[in-house]
Amino acid sequence: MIVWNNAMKARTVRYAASCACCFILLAFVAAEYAVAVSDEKNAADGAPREIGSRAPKTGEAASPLRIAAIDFVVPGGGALYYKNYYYGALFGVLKIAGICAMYYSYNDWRYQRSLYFAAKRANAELDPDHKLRFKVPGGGYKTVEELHHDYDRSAQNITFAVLGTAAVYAASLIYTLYKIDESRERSLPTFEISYGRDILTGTREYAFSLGCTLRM
Amino acid sequence: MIMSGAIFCIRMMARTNDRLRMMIAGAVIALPMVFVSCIHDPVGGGYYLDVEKIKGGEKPTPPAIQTVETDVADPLVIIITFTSSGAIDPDTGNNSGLYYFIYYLDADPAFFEDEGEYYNSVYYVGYTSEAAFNGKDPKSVIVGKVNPAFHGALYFWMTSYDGGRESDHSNVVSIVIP
Repeated sequence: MIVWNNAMKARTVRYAASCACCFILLAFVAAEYAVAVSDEKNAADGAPREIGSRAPKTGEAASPLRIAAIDFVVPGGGALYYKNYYYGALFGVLKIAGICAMYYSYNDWRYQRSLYFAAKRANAELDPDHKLRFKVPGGGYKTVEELHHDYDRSAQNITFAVLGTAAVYAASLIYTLYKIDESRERSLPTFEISYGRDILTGTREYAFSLGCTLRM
Repeated sequence: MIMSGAIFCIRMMARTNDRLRMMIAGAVIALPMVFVSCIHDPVGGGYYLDVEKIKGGEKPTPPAIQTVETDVADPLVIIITFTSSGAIDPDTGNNSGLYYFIYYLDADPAFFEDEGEYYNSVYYVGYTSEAAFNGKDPKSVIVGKVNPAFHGALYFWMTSYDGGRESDHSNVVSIVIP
C-alpha cells in the first residue's frame, strides 16, 4: 500500500510545477514556431507583404526604467504595459509560481531542518548505539540519516526555486527591453555609444572622443 | 510603488476579455493557496523525545546465551542455546512478538571502540523468533557451518528486536574451533 506522506506530496508538487512550466514553455515555443512557419509560407507563396503605417508614433515616450520597475514589481507588468496579454499572463503566472516555490521551499527547509535536529537529539539522548526510526508527520518512519537527506534535498530545492525564478524574471526583463527597443525603433535610441577620432595635421594634434548617451 | 503596481495590474486586467481575466485571476489566487497548503510549521527540539514517535516504542531487553557448542554429529556445525525468559518488550509486557538476532566475530568484541559496532550488520549472521519455539525455553538454534579451513575462536552475541527497536546486546560467548 502506498503511504501518501509529506515527501511524496512535496515531490508531486515539484513534479507538477515542473511539468506545468515545461508545458507552458513548449506551448510558447510551438506557437512561435507556427508563426515563423506561417510567415515563411506566406513569403514562399508570393503573398503581398503587409504594409503598415509609417507615421511617427505620438504620445508620451515610455521610460525604460519605469517599465522595468513595473515589470519587476507587477508579475507580467512589462508585457501588459505593451498590451500583450498573452505574454503578460504567461510571465505573471510563472513569476507568481516562482515566488510561491521559493516561499514553499524556504518553509519546507525550515520544517525539514527542525525534524532532522529533533531526531538527531532524540537519537543521541535515548539510544545512541542504535539507529532509531522516527515517525514522520504525515506517515512513515525515517532514520536520522534519511531525515538528513531530506534536509539536504530541501536546501537544494531552495536553490532550484531561486534559479528558476531568476530565469523567469530575466526572460521577462529581456522581453520587456526588446519591446521597449521595438517601440522606439523609429525614434531616438534608448542607449547609444559613440566613438570618434580625428587627426589635425596643421597642429599635429590627435583628437579622440568616446561618448555614451542614455535616454531615460 | 506596490500600490501603483497593483492599480496598474487592475487596469490591465480590466482591459482583457472575460475568459483571460478569469484564467489570470484563477492562477493568481490558486497558485499561492496550493503552495501554502503544503507548508508545515517547524517542530520543537524535543519533538522526538516522546517514545510514542519512535518505531517500536520502548526498547526490549536482550536474551541470554547459555552455551555455544558444536554438533556432536558434525563438529563444524555450531549450535547456540539461549534463554529468552528475560527478553521482554515493555510495550506488550511479554516476548511473544520478539525476534532474536545473532551476531558473531572472529575477534573479541570487547575491543570495539564504539558500542554501536555490536549492532553493525557486518557481524549479523541470522535470526530466529519466539514464535518458532512455541514457548519452549531454553532454545537451541543452528547458527551455521564453519569453514573447515578456519581455526580459532569465534565470539557470539544476540539481541532481541520487536519490529521497531533492537535491544542492547546479550552476553558474549566464545567457542574455539580446533
